[in-house]
Amino acid sequence: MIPLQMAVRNLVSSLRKTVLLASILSTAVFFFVLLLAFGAGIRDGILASITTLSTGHLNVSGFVRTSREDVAPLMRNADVMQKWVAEHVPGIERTVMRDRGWGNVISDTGSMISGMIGVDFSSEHALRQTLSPSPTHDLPPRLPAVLPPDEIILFASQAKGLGVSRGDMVTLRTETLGGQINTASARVGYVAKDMGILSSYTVLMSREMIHELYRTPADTAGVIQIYLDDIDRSDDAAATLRKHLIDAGHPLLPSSEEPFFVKLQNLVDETWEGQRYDVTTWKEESSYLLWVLNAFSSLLGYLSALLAVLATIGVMNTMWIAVRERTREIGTLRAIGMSRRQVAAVFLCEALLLGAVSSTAGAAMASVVSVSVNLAEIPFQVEAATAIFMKDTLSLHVEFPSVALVILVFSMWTSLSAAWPAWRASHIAPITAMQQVH
Amino acid sequence: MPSILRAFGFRVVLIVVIGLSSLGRAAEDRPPMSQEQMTALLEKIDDRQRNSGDYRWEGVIYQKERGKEDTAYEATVYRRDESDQFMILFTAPKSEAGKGYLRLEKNLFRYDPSVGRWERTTERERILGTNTRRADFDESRLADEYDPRFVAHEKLGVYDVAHLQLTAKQDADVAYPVVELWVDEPTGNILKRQDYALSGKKLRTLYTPKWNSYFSESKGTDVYVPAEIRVYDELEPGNSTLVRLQKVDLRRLPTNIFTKAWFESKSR
Repeated sequence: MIPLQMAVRNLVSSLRKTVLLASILSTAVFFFVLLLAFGAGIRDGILASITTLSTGHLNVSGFVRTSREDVAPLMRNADVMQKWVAEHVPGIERTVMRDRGWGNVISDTGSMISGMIGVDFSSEHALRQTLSPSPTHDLPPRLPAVLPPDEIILFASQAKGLGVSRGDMVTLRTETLGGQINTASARVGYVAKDMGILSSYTVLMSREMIHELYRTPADTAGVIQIYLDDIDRSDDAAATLRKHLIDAGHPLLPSSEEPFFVKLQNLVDETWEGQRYDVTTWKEESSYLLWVLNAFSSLLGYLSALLAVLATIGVMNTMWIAVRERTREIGTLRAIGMSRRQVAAVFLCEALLLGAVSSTAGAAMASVVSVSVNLAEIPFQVEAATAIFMKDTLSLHVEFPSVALVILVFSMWTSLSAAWPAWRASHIAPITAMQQVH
Repeated sequence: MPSILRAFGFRVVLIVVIGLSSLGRAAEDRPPMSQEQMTALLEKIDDRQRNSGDYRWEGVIYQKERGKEDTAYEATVYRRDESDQFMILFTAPKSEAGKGYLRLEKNLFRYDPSVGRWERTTERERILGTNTRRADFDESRLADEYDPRFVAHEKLGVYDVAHLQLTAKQDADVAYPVVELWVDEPTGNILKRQDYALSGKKLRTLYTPKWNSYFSESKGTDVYVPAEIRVYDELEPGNSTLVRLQKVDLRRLPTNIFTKAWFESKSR
């Protein structure tokens, strides 16, 4: 208690210096927490987009070789596999079946190549919740529970490129499993707000339409997307599922960190026949998109190192000055019976308090700024930012456990930075200290 | 007027001529073709275009796409029909030079010299993104791949044509499941072709109004080659491709020409 009281008194007595150093440290923590919040916002945006449009937490995909040079992304008897998966993977919140395709969407004035996802809209509540209407089209606030089988959902940038609005007709063109060209007419049933780069090449349609285009039986599907109660369990659940599939005699593709369309291309060169399955996690399916998060993590790592260096230099320097200025005081304290340990504890407590207060202040300011920015819904001015971050507004997500950890680690680090000066202070001989003349 | 515009304006003229000449004409009073006659006609079409030896033509492919700049490619096509070997090598413009396709042992490969990689692709791929496909340049196999149905004897401009509808056979590896042909009956040359999707939607129309013949020493008779192929995209009006076959050579090609090594050496 005494070292702590003394530490508080010392900090208050040299208030100007304390405030100056605390300001610098809290500013550094402020920007760091803000960056953490920005990174978390990006991650949440990417995750929401990816797990809505592209992948579950875990996926079971099917690939069938239909000829020497054609491989189709589908599995037969998909209902049976869906039930089997539900029995063998613990902690499943829900599963959805989707179909995967690729082709042209052609309007009177434009055309584009796009991925085509066959969806059972009536059972995909999360999808309906996540998709919101494009503000430039006159639409109901939510996707209807039932979309007619001949209607498709485009995203705003796609609709703009094709020059279409809700109610307009487009032609879908693709190749069947046998390689023959097929088309279907479709009406634009809904235009959703863009969700980043993924929505540039994803068109949503009914499963019936995909089956009609590809002339595939109704009991086939491209992928079973599995959503767990805890996304962080994806890797373990994937390993469990792979093992069960192998034990049950289902041939699997080797595990690899590639999205399905890259695998599909690579499979053309292989020579196996029949049906193969593939188990992937959301990270593997979106590996080509996660570079943003990886780049951010690296940036945060460098910044953490920089922050640590700054804190160390600042705190150590201040403590050295304090030790020099208070040498006689230290000598006096030692002479009246204070132990070395207690002397060191005083300096350590000063650094710890400085770190704790400044990091808490910095983190608190960053939290306030984050909340304000989120409420303001500031749009990205640059289109590329919308595509990469998969959001059209700036979003900062303060995760309080992370912030608490930052405060704790920063406080400990500033305390550690004062260790050497504290040790030196504690080893000053009392008689030497008392005799020192400033 | 630029040559490309002159070329594509031809379609308007052709349609007007065909339309005017078709107005008010009654159907030819000739009996419909029998199945044997149609099969024989398809075999004749295939045989007239097939060379028992080698085949090489140099030409230009003009591509027109709505919303984009017109492009022109120079290409050389090599064929050895007796062994089903086929190759397209693009020689211009500079950005596309060295790219191409090679068929080896029933596999079609695409090559891009900028990455130095061969990629296996399907036989149905659109050639360099144009409206043409490998089958448009390769040996004609209509008799093998399609079952014919007689539609009518018609007039196409000044030509007496047999209008046939072809449906792909069960195991045929073709992009277009339904094809309609207008065949010049005296010569067996295809003048017009329309390709349809499985849904019945018309996908493209091809015109081959002029054919040239070249004597083949290996075959001992003439081989017929279209002087030009005009392809019009019916799903995306405004998109079209014009192929002009300029130099046709039926002399023997080097033995090792249909190899990746030879192709790569020409790509550099």
